[in-house]
Amino acid sequence: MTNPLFDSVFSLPTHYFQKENYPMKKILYTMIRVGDLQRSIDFYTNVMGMKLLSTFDQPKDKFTLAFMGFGEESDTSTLELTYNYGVSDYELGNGYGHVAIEVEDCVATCAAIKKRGGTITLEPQRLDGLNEIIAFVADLDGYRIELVQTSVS
Amino acid sequence: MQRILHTMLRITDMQRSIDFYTHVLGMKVLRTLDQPEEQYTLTFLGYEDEAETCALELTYNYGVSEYDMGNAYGHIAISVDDCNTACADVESKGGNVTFGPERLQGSDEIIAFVVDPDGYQIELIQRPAS
Repeated sequence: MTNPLFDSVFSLPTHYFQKENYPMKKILYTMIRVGDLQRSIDFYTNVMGMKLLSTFDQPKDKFTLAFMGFGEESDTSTLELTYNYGVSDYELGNGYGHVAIEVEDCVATCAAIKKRGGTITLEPQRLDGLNEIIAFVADLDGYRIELVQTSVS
Repeated sequence: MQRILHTMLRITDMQRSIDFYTHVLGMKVLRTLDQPEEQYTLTFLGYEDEAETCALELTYNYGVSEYDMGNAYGHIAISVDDCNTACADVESKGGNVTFGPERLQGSDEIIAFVVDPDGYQIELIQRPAS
């Protein structure tokens, strides 16, 4: 590695340098459980600008899934929302962090989100040591969504 | 187009997690950022460069050895060519398969779950060739 920080923090495992064929291909989606599926679909479409890609209802097992994304699953990673019949509350814990979304203009995106009724929990700011402007949005279950504007000059 | 860049998970031992995601799940370390004055280290891992595909961001907060996992967050899902092969591969490298491989009812998918060193679930999904 050429990053000098890297060696000071941890060492790369030796197998990292070996050429191996893994059967894993790509990250498809991130799944989060929500307390009201229609409310969440409305939020991720109207406020965040995603599309509802597909839904899958399984009454026998008492759950419904909704896949949301900015493009088709074949092109981009998506968000899977799981609604378990009758469960309106979850423990968010503090292990899971967030899903990050790339935006062209973080300030403009935050203004648009506010206008559509969304809540910005961290106003756009430049991160020390990164050429990025980030902000955070809270969804209706309390999950945080990071907005990232990359390659800020 | 806007797109999902990464999913962030907090972990308690960065070296252990990097070993797991590279050695057992075949990801590459894409970049790292250490912020000693703010007491955290980030590592981004993935199967391709971040410009191409969604990544996983691991956050290590200095000295934090435990997190409350809650029950709201589910998992990340990873596509595999062959779920049986992938599970055998995971187990041969010391990973734990906690579910499957199993064909989902009403679906052409074969799925399995693997658990990471902090207890986060990872779904492996084999879809029929389209």
